[in-house]
Amino acid sequence: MTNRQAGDELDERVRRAAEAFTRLTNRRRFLAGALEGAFALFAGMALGSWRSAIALAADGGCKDCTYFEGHSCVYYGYACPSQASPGCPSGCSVCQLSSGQCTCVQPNPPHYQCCYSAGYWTVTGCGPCGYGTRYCTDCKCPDCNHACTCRSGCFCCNCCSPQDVAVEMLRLASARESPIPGMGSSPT
Amino acid sequence: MASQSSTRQLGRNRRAWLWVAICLIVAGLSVLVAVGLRQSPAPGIVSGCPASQASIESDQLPPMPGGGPVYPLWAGLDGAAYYVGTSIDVTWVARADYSDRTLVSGRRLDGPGRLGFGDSRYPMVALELQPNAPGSLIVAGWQSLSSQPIVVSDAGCYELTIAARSTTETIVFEARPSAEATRLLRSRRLVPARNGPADCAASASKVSTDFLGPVLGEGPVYLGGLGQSGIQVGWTSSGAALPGRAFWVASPRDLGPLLLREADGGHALRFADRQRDQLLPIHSYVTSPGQPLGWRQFVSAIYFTAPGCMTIQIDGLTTRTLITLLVEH
Repeated sequence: MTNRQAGDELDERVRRAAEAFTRLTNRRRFLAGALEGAFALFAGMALGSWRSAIALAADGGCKDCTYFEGHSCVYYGYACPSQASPGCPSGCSVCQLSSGQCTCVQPNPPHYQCCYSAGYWTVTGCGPCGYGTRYCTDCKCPDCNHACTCRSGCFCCNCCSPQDVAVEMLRLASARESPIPGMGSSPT
Repeated sequence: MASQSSTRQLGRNRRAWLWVAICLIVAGLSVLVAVGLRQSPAPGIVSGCPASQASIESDQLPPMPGGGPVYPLWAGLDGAAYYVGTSIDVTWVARADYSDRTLVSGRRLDGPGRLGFGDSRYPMVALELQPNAPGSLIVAGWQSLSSQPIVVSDAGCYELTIAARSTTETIVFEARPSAEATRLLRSRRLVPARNGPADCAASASKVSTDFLGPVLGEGPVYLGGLGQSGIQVGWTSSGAALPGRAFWVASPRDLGPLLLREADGGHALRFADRQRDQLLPIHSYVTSPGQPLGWRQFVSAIYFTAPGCMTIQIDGLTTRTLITLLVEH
């Protein structure tokens, strides 16, 4: 084999190697492109439902008052008040901090059920547009063995602008001032 | 002769392949470097934005950008403020004796885009701050003026102008997405776990909040819902991990995302959804009566899967909290 032949052979090998590498990278580029396309497709789809996703995330705390091992008072057969304000069912009492101490120890694992000074907490960001507010109230129905939590109705869960909130607040205020019995309750 | 020529050719071939290999390695490294360069700068590194210095004015509050007298407190680090959606959660504070009405406005410095306040869909162009609102003390010596968020277009360099009767202060900051802050937290190392009850120094409740009773820990993040003793948490073996309601309370000392994990080597804890870690976001949707502005709380769950000494490590942007529990049968 002459030097020229050897050189040609080397060139050929390098060319093949380069071609193989190019094919590989092209394949990878194609694959990457395909993945990017898929990503873009799904990202676009996700973006389309971005608002609902935010609303869902925000609604997580609005949905169930984080009962965990505890229960909604409905579990014990008590209907929670439907108005958008804190409160326990008839026949129950608010379960709250007493003399600076949490009350109603739950056994397994031990932890306290009632640690809020006023017995309730407020969750905002509710509803599809995130303007809604709900209240979660810890209750004893009638005692610590039946400690439970009530989720209130929603204030402004259908609001989608500050104007909607203002209108709803005005409506609520006028309803509270209304002398007609039964007009004091808020929408749920 | 033929043998010599063949050996020489083999040598040349080897050299050629070596060159090809070297070229490929160099090319690969170049690609890696290029990809690295194309990625966004690391969290905390502010490039090209002359961000205002932050100073520590109170050990109970995070570093405050600008020169005062009104400061925006936010989830921030090294001149960056982290936003969710397009909103930066802000607690506007001033010293307790501050009494001027103040107007805040702002603009973007490095391109098109706006800065507003309040509702992200209907932002206001300026924000008026009223001092001395009832119950506005955030921590001793400091009052909170408002919790209206800043609304930005997207990531970039922005300027706030805070005008009062006798002073006008500008604050420059870089708005960055909160995902970068989260990445930063996940890169933090875990501290070693304690091994057994013998050397377990369980956290006790030293703080009693007006809005959530006694809470465990030294702060700035606390665990509520386990009562005041906190030294021994009884554990009833039932073969199943049962959840307890856990209240996480964060003081205004840390306003950023918080990453909850069990210390390195521990396997007895689970957080919400039985996960080994939990990210508490910048924005909290939960409040209760008596809760001062700037404090955050998160109602969640905690699962004990085995008795023992366990340390919960809570990493924030500028803080680290360790809460230790001794869980016994």
